[in-house]
Amino acid sequence: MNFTPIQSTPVSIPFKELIDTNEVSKHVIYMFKPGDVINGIAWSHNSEYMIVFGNFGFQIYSTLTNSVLYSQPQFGNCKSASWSPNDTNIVYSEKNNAPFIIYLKINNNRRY
Amino acid sequence: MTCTSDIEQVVWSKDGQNIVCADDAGEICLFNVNGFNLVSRLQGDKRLIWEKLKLSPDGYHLAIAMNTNDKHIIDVWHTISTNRVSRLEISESEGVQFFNWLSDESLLIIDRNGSCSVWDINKNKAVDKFDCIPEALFRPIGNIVASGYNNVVQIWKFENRKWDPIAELQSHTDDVDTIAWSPNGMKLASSSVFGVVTIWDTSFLP
Repeated sequence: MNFTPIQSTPVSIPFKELIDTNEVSKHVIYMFKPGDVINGIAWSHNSEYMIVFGNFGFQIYSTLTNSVLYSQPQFGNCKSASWSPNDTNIVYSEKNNAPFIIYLKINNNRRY
Repeated sequence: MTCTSDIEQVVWSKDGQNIVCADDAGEICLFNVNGFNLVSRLQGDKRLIWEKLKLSPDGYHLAIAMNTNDKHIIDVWHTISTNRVSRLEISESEGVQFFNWLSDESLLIIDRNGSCSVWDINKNKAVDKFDCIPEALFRPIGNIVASGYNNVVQIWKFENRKWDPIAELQSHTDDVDTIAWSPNGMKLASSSVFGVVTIWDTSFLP
């Protein structure tokens, strides 16, 4: 079901006069344990939340509070996830022939 | 609301009414969320096995890469009308290693030789071709591209059919596996093979 992996041709990049990224703000999330495999990341439409999904199930992470809002351990491998247009629901797939839909309660402050 | 086999990918349509499900038997089903009923099956031909689904930036089109014995096909479907609007046929010799949306009406396809071609979904053909970087992921706004290389996220500017490196984001200690731009382009999430996720503030980019 997968594409032929892209050959890892070395990319020789004459990096010079690059933007100084030392001051770039970043948040590193260590929310997974050895053996966990991340299958993908799905951003919400408002760019505030993201679903990180993999063989551990999935987690919903807030980039506003930099915290995990929701965690769904599963028996199966979460292969995919997607947000509804208004970011109030998500659909995800695990080892099943039907998708799972979750309604996420969001109040006016947009917190789950 | 079931597919034939285990679901591999799900995509919510732009209007919120439908969910596209691709199962590991190679079928693609489109369900209505309210009635939980099957709306249609998208391939229309059981010989076609899907490989990858990519939703357009505006959410109105779904590109489905499939293969047959002698060629690769990318079908583009409208997620609301559920009509197929385009079929791109790529020869087996060129093949498809990677594809993604370049805009709401064009696809970037990287072939086995490492060349990029831009396909216009309205014209059903390639309209441009140039050398490429692997797995170029365009930012939703502007002409900025991210790609993972070893443990670094490289940021490029694509202009005049050339790739100009402008930044390297370094944090991961192992190979970068997944990259995802936020819809507004102001953040970038990257994950590494060992399960570390980093969220970058990319508002500094032009």
